[in-house]
Amino acid sequence: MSENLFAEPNLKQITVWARGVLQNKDARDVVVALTEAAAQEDKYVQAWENYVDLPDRVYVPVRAYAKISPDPIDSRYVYENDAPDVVVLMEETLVKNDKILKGLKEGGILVVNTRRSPEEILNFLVTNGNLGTVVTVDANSMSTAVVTLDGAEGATDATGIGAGISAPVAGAVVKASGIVKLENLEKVVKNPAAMRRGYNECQVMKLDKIEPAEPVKEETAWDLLKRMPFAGTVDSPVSENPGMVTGNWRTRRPVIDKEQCTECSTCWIFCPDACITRTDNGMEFNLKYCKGCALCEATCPSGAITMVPELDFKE
Amino acid sequence: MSEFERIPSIKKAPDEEYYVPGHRTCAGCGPALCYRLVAKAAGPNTIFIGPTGCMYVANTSYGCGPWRVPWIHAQITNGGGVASGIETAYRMLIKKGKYNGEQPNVIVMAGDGGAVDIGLQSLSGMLYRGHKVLFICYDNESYANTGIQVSPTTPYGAWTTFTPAGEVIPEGRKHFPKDNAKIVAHGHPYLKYVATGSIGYPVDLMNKVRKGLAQEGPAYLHLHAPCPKGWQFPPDKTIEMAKLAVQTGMYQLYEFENGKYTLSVQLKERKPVIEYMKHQKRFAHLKPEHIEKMQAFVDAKCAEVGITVPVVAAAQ
Ligand SMILES: Cc1ncc(C[n+]2csc(CCOP(=O)(O)OP(=O)(O)O)c2C)c(N)n1
Ligand code: SF4
Ligand code: SF4
Ligand code: SF4
Ligand SMILES: [Mg+2]
Repeated sequence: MSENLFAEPNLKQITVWARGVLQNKDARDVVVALTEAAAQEDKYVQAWENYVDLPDRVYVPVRAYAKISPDPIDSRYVYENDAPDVVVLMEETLVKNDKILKGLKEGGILVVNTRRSPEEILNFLVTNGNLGTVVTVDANSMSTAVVTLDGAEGATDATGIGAGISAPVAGAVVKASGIVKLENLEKVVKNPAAMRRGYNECQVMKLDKIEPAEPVKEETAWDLLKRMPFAGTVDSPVSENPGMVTGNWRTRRPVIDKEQCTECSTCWIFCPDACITRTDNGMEFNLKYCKGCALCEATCPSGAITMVPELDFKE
Repeated sequence: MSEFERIPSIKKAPDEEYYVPGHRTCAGCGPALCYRLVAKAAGPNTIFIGPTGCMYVANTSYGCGPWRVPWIHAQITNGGGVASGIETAYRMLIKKGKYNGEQPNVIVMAGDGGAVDIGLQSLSGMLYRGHKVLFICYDNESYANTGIQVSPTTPYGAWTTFTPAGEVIPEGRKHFPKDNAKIVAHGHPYLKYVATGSIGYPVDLMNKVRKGLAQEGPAYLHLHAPCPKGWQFPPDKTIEMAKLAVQTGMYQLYEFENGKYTLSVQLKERKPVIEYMKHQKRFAHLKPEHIEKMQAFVDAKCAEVGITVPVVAAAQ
């Protein structure tokens, strides 16, 4: 049998998922810090953001990537990580996104920034059976997120690398994967104390082989290309646009107390995403698309809407 | 102007949506809400023209869109030109008996870049030729889609990626903004109607859309639409920002017809501009002298359109 010419057996892929705008910088810092540390060990490295996720929008899931290898990286123009060794979630509700573990290599590692335990996190996952380790790190208690547009889309960035929650998250990645030496990571991050706390205080849970769930059905690039119009037309949607489902942007969901609601329609008129409908049964929320912006809660004059953390709900 | 049906209140606004759920705009995006309100007011017999900007790119990723009515992309430079062609084509088809329907509402939804800067020539040409088109600028005060660069409507003192604050220019943005509603209003003999609106005042906004569409010729609306990403405030504050802009006089709501300004909101007093600016990180670097300069500018802008109520600071 012929050898796979394109195999890169020693290449490690790291995929970092984050919430657009608010965590873009910290997500980018995780991949930059890890690759800079790896470069100190004479590895070949790449760090970049997924162009498909740009321009990033508030709360949209975005991805930053790293490749680290002792060998030259032949796949350097393949710009999505197809088979990650490590998946990192900068924010816990991303566990509900059924794409995060797609392609994970056997024995792969998941690192989540959360106060919850690995067991709790495991409850929400749709896995392909390859997950070997779940790691949780409460990065928000160890450092402060750096929210900035500096460094985004070519803008200059003088804020430094690894000052925010990226530091403890990168520390937890190193603890679970050993992908670089701790002292080399220490040299490149601006907040080494937080990085060490992430390394020391993260919870690591090794898994027995778990049952694979149904594989995630996803369109291939070719499917997308086939329905992509070029100087042509597509049909208008009628009640919703199923080509852009946005419910997984949400970190909190609106819950209404119908006793307190006066049906004044204020929340309804101000929802940018038309996710509230006036019905005979009062205001109904469309959670398939609701992005969790909380404008409904903020504008309700009766205090009838409360935003509740998304992980309080299994579905 | 033909008759149009006024929307009396939020509660009595039509339920039908023509800008439906499923778009990649930021959580809490002001321009997205603006689109929804405009589409709701305009109704089913409408064609939208979308020059490049967030309201093109974020709405059409990838190969689909949230409009229940026809929508077409235009270059950022030429929303007015594309709309002129579409309006004329329908008019001619109807005149020649080749189209039995009614003349559609033709609406351009351009950003401040596409309306006030790089698309201004095309807008002006359309107004000058007298096309029956409603040209709307949703103003998020920057070239937002490409990562928040300065535009002619970016306020004095605002951070953008092209106007960072530093030692040499401590206020970031040095210029005061261009006033497109007035540029447009005073130089186009066939223009029928000009008004400003805000997403914080949805009933007023929707009625201005209907009034603009009821004109026998071109109309221009300039609509204030706060942008949580670019202005750097939390997404649940979009409406609060829109209202504060009006309550401080940073943004003035009026109609301009027959050479006269009519105010749309009767303020009893104005809040100091700092009440608006303090919530937005794009202004966080400003010093008291910059805020004073902004207050003086806003006072003058208000006087121009007849807002004369005093500025009153909230009791401590
Ligand atoms: C001629 C041309 N120059 C530059 C661009 C790149 N570009 C795409 S969107 C955009 C920003 C448009 O700003 P605005 O009209 O204010 O809309 P916004 O994105 O703020 O909604 C720019 C500069 C372009 N598409 N065409
Ligand atoms: S949080 Fe409320 S306002 Fe925001 S998208 Fe969801 S339903 Fe609409
Ligand atoms: S704004 Fe509050 S009171 Fe009014 S309809 Fe919505 S939930 Fe009910
Ligand atoms: S950058 Fe501003 S205008 Fe663009 S989608 Fe985000 S909030 Fe809306
Ligand atoms: Mg703009």
